[in-house]
Amino acid sequence: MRVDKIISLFCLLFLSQFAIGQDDLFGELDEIQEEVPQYETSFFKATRVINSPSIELTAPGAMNFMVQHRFGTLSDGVYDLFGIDNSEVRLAFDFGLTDWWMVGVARSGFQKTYDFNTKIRLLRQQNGAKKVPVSLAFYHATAFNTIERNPELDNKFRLSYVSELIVARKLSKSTTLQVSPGWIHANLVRTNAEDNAFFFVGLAARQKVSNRVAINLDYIYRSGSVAENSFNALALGVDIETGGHVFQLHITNSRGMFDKAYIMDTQGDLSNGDIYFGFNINRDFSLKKKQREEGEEL
Amino acid sequence: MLELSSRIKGFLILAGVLTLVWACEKESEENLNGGSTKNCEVSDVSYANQVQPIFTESCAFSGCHAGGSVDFSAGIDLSSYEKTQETADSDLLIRAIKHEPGVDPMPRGAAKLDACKIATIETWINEGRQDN
Repeated sequence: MRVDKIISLFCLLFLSQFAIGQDDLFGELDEIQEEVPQYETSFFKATRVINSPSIELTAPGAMNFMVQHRFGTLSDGVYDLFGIDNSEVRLAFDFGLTDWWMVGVARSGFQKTYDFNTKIRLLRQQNGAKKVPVSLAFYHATAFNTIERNPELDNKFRLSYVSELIVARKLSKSTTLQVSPGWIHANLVRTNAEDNAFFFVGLAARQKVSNRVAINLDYIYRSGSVAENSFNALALGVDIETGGHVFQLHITNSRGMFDKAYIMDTQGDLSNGDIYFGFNINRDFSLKKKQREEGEEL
Repeated sequence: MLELSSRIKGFLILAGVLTLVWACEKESEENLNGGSTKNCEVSDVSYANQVQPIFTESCAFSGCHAGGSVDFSAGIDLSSYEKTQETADSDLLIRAIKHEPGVDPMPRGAAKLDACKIATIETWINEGRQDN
């Protein structure tokens, strides 16, 4: 009996060592888990909020093909099918080079313009042990219009530049706010009264209403002396994710879709009912063979 | 650390490229055209000196409202006074450049003409589309 008690006590002591060891192991696991950064993702469904660039980047090794359309004014009526007969198109190709860098090239019918852009992620919002309140990205676009002019225009006067810092914060799983202070410079403006360069601030918000549907707001506030027949760009839209594609349907007062066009040349006067219907269609293509094969296996 | 350094390197390369391509100019079409739109004078409009230059600059291109391309541009030719008289409907012209509902906004794919140019063309039409 006494021997039994001694053996039981010994076993208890032995097992308790395992329990202590387990605590240490769990502690170590917790520490490892805490060290893994908990990044916020999916601020927006696409790399454009509506007109403005969003904080999102094209995935590394992928190409995002975006078709953008802006139609005539809704007030055109039935004769022009509420503006559908008058459309402007922008075709954009964005390439994800790394998980923090993407480049893009696009062509717009508006002023026959080619634009080249890049976006660099500088900081990611984190909620883990290390807390980072916002995500940051730098965006730059250079646009070159090729519209025929008479007399012929010197190429340097066809250039414009936009640089902005994108600051985004995901307030909850469904709500995102974005502020984008920026600087625009156009080598040629129409009149001497207009500034060739000025500061602007982009304001954007996203509210998810379901896993696949979100409502977006996109507004550009401009400082400085701007063309008398141009207005701040405002857009309201809905994003619909279908698995392979992201459809962005919206109404806006801007027909131009590259950066200089919607910042400097938005001519829709909201007080005059100049509201245009438009859409962006996004489709990602994997350019890396390994990724494509993995995708096919899935 | 490797990621950070490559990120900084990429940023610096990009900043350098941007600096090189940042060929900033400060010019206005008003200066290039040698005129001023601050005091828009439309009381006595000259077709040859004021209206045709606007058409030539913004409308009368091959592929648009000039020469053999007019079949694709509603048959409207704005390359000369005679062609303008023959082919351009005043009401359609003014509604198109004012971007009014029901007509294609013109110039197509370009910014709306400034207020002075629109006023110049409108005055010329209201004064009887003279060849002056």
